[in-house]
Amino acid sequence: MELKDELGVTVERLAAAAGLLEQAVERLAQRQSDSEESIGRIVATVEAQRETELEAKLAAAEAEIAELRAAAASATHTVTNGRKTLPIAMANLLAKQGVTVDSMEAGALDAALVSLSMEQRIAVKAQLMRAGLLG
Amino acid sequence: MEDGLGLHRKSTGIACRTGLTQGSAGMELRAMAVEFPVVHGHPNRLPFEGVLTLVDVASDKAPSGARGHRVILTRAAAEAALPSLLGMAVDYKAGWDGHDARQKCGIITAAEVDGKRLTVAGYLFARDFPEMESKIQIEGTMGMSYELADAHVADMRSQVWTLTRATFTGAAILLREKAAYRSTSFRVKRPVVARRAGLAR
Repeated sequence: MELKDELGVTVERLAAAAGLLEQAVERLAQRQSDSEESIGRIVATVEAQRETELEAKLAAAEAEIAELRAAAASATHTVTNGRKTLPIAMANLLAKQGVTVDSMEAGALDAALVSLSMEQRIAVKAQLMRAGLLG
Repeated sequence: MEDGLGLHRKSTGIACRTGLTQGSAGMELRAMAVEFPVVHGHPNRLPFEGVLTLVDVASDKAPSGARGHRVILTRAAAEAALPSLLGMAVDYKAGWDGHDARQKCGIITAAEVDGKRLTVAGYLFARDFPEMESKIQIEGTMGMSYELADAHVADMRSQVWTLTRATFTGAAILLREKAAYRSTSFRVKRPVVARRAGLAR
């Protein structure tokens, strides 16, 4: 009698387990069908439109990078010019030679400083370089 | 391809034939063909053969319609879709860079999955499209591209889409570099009669 009961319990357990397995399989199948999707038309040709779009995006990105670089370069230039750390004595010396700090040109500077001694010319240029006015 | 595939075979009438053979390397080969009666010297029937696509291999580029995803056509899907290829047309587009489904210049009469390659054979309407011939004769430059409908994607979220089911609706002859699969190929099989005539000239 006891053996019969035990067997009954085992059968019940097995039936329950089988039910759970069935449910799991159903869920898996459902998940599979959820992730699967049908696409109307696929043509094994390189998507020209997409390539064109990507090329356009790349060109736009490159233009933006170039613009940012240019902006960064001019910002550096502005900041350097804005430092105005040239000593007053040096600015006066340059003014006497007819050179203004705002419109500095290498050729004009050399011509303007020609009357100075070599040491003076070196000192002036060194100061200008330190001030970031001479590249 | 002529020797290796032999998709064009002699026949005495219209019939549909399927085959499952064991290749020399023990590779399974599934083939299907519509057999046409032989018409010697048919002026508008130029036999061709080509590799339409690869199976179980990711495309080199994203095909049109795949939303930027590269795709894998599974071998099972390709084999199941072989019957849909027979009788479908091959087309070409001016510029040889895509499909023009209304410019049908030939018909597919045989298809097989041989290893990783899905090869097709058929006839071009050479007389109707004389402008085609000069281009497609240049060996190695032309490839093929399939056109699928109702393709099932196993997982839309995956980077490379796996196509588990599909129906072929046509194919195109195009520049190999424009095909999503770079390993496709296309070539015409000059009939013996025409070859002889060419030699006699």
